Amino acid sequence: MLLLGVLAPVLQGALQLYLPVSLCPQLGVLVVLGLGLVWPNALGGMLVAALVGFMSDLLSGSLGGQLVLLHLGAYLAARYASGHLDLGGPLSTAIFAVGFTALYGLALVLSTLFFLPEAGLGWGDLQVLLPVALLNGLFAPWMVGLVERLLARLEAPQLGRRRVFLGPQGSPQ
Amino acid sequence: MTEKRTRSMLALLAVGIVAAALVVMVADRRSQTAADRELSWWSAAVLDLSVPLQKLLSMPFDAVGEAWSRYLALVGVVQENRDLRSDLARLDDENVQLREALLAGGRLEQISRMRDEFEIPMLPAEIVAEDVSSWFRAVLLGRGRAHGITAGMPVISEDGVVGLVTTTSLNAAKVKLLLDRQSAADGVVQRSRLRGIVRGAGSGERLAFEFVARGGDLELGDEILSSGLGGVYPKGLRIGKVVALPEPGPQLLARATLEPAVDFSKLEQVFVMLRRSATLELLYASDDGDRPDSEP
Repeated sequence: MLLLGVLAPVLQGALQLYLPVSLCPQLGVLVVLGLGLVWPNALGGMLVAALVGFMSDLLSGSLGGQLVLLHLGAYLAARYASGHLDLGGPLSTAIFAVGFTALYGLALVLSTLFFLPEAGLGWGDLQVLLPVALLNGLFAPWMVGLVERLLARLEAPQLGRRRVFLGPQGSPQ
Repeated sequence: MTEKRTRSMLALLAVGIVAAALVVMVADRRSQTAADRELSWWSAAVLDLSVPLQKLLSMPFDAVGEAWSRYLALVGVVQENRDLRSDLARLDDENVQLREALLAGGRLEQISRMRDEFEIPMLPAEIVAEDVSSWFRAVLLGRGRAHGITAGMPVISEDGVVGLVTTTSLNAAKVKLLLDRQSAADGVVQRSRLRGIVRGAGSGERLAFEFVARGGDLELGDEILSSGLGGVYPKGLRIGKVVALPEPGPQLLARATLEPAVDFSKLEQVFVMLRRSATLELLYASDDGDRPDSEP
């Protein structure tokens, strides 16, 4: 999971060399969303979210620590939502991801306005959000699925070591 | 009881991470105006490790891009070659005429001496990653302090001004692009010598030419160059072209829109000017220890 946390922003940085901003999903945000929705381990989730934020900070012109804060907040929001909303299906996950990205973008703009007013971000900059939010919505079910599969694989060795006894009729006992 | 304890531990961890992030943010905010802008050793180490990873992940895209440029983009090469030959011939003629004019004025020797004085060593560097946030404009170079790059060095391409190195690690350097809202350069209109400040527009691919005297001589298509007066970029580098004139209004100062000379969406390789201006030398004086004695 730590590796996924490192790879997501790095891959996004490489992808953005070839794709315009509006056509590149925010992989780091999607990983954090996936962790919040499907990983029951809150300690691990918070640490990976902070790691994704730290890597994103390194690869961005934002203030150091700003994206750590936002990714942690995003993780906690996703975790809270997973406990209160039915986000089992791909459509509901996609719709949630659109709103989630919009809130994340809003938080980024607000925190930049507060901590770095000379960056000159304004409400007009929120228009970048729409295509990115829609794209994140499109990719969110796949990313959540990927996180789910990774978690299953990470837990699989323990399951595989469990002894299974077969009875005379071939049914497990 | 155990669950309650776990919950409080988790809350404590969350508060700890938030507090640490806030401290880093405030420290980083303060260092924006201070001389010491180098990364902490652990951040620099992670950044150094991410560079080969970025290159590895870029490989498939690079391969596709190269195949495209080698086989498919060759279609227009014959015509382009013809145009370039004709341009070269025209520029040769122009060069001869200008040399003649300078010789007549006795200024050629003087200019040649000045050129030696102002020639700045440049280091080519590959862009390995772009900003992961949609609102900031920065790129990561695959070369850093080990190659003589330090914060405050201007970065250019063959088309013009790209940006400024803001932070470095041993094998990587972060460059704030001219498109970023926090970037600024003192610009001058090549034709009329009208001055103004060029600023990034953030998310778009345009620049703003601000603080221009209203009623000043500015036309669509005018070329804007760096004036050298801001103390950041050397004089005479191409910045952009005027694509929208200021709106009419009562203000004393106006704002025009520029199309950058550099196509930032296709930027792959840049040149780092391995010398900082006197102003930036003062600002980044504490970095001197990082600079190698001999430039590559």
